[in-house]
Amino acid sequence: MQEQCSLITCEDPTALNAWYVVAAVCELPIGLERPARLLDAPLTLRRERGGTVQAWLGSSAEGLSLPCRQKFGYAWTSLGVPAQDIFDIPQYDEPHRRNMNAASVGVNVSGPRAIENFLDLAHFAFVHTNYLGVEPHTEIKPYQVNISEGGEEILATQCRAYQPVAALSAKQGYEVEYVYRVPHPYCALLYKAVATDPTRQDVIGLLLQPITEDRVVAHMLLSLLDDTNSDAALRGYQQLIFSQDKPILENQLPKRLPLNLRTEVSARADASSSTYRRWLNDHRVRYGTIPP
Amino acid sequence: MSGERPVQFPNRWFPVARIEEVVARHIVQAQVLGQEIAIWRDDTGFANAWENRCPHRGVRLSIGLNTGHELRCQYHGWRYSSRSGQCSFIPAQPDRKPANAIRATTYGCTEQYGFVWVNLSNTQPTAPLPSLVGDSFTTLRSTHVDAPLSRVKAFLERRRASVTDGGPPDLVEIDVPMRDPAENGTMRTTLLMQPMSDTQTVIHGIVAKALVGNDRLALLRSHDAYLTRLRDEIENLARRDDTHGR
Repeated sequence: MQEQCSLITCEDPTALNAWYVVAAVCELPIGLERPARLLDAPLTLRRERGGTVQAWLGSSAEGLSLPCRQKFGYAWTSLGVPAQDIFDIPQYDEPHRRNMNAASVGVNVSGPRAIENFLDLAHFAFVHTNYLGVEPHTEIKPYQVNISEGGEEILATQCRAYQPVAALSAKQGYEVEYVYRVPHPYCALLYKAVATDPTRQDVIGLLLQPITEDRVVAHMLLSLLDDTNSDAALRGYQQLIFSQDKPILENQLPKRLPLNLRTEVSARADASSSTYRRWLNDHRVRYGTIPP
Repeated sequence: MSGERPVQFPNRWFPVARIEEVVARHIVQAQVLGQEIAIWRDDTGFANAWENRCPHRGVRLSIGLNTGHELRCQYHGWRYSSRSGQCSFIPAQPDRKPANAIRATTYGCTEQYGFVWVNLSNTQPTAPLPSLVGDSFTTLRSTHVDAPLSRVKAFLERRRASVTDGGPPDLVEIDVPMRDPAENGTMRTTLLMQPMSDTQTVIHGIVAKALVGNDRLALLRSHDAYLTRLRDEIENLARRDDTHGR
């Protein structure tokens, strides 16, 4: 036991006691062990024939067995004692949804920088040119950002952006309304009106597996309403979008997110980002951040 | 805010690039004393040296766009004016003039002896540029060495060159053997040191003679071969010392 505990070097209790995605279940080989990393610690994962997934700190022979859950098609684990359950996504269980992991991509950046990029509207015209934005449609109209009463979640609503290709199912450009949710320091969700049915919402999740303080694996959850495109095409579109963000993320200095709001200049459109930084500090998140 | 300089840099000039590398509408990434720098020339010919980081969300400005009079950040399209570094436009709020305080961190930058020189300190007045050669000179190839400046200087000292210390910049006068013995088999060369970080150094070189055509080519080749050998020896020595725990 003593030996396994020395494998944990992360000293941030908030980070240690959280749940994290460590793999898409269907991508784990059955009956074989696969190494993984979480918060600088080495893990071993194994998916059994019956469908259960096990996780150990260190090796399966000598390591400490870790708590393991399956949700949204992913295997989740924790190095500590999670105080809460994994958050819910009510839409996920609706009929006719196309639920899948779009990709699990290593990114050379801290988790909080990646979450902040996911919440950002103002980069669409410059990073996702002709897909999620285009000049001169660069103005970001005011939107609402609130922290839930108990402090568990951030919710950004009335976010609007003109998008040439909002989703693969979109036939033309239009102004899309987004809602963003941050239910976990390393996970964020977005809801956007479906191109073919504005009364329903596509859901995209960014679920991060922090490898080190400045390196993550980004697991991208899709829960879409689309009855024309193949799984490969839907995954491909998300992968294309993320491939445009990755070089930006990997060129941010410093890699960890500064929580002092005066360290980096902000504009009105950065309301989500500023709230997220404050919220991380309120929750004492130190892993992947620069405290004020 | 963006004007804050947490590190105190010395008031001295470092060569960071050769002039012909800093071409129109391009952005060169350089580094001195661990500080990353974005160097770019505006359409009037003025060379800017800025901290390589957008004050908004920290993205390297060197992956952005040089429009000829402004630098545009790749992430959110914020634009910064040549010379002042003042933010001139924020696309997310096109009708609002950016606050005066929003500006890229600018450094002293000048061009001489075929090099772009940078002074990171905000002390006034800035130290004078060292006087190296007259109007006739040939700028040589720059060589990157995986070793700290102290090791490079110690190594060159053993080669019995005259090493100037304390007086900035770190200069080394050395007689480089010439394959084509136009000058008694050697040529007096001034080596200029650019300490990139605690582990990396760039050696720039210059000779006090303007050469053209085949003579210039022969000189460049000799210098190139000499510096490549020098680099290998310094790096081998550094590796060996590291293995022995020194």
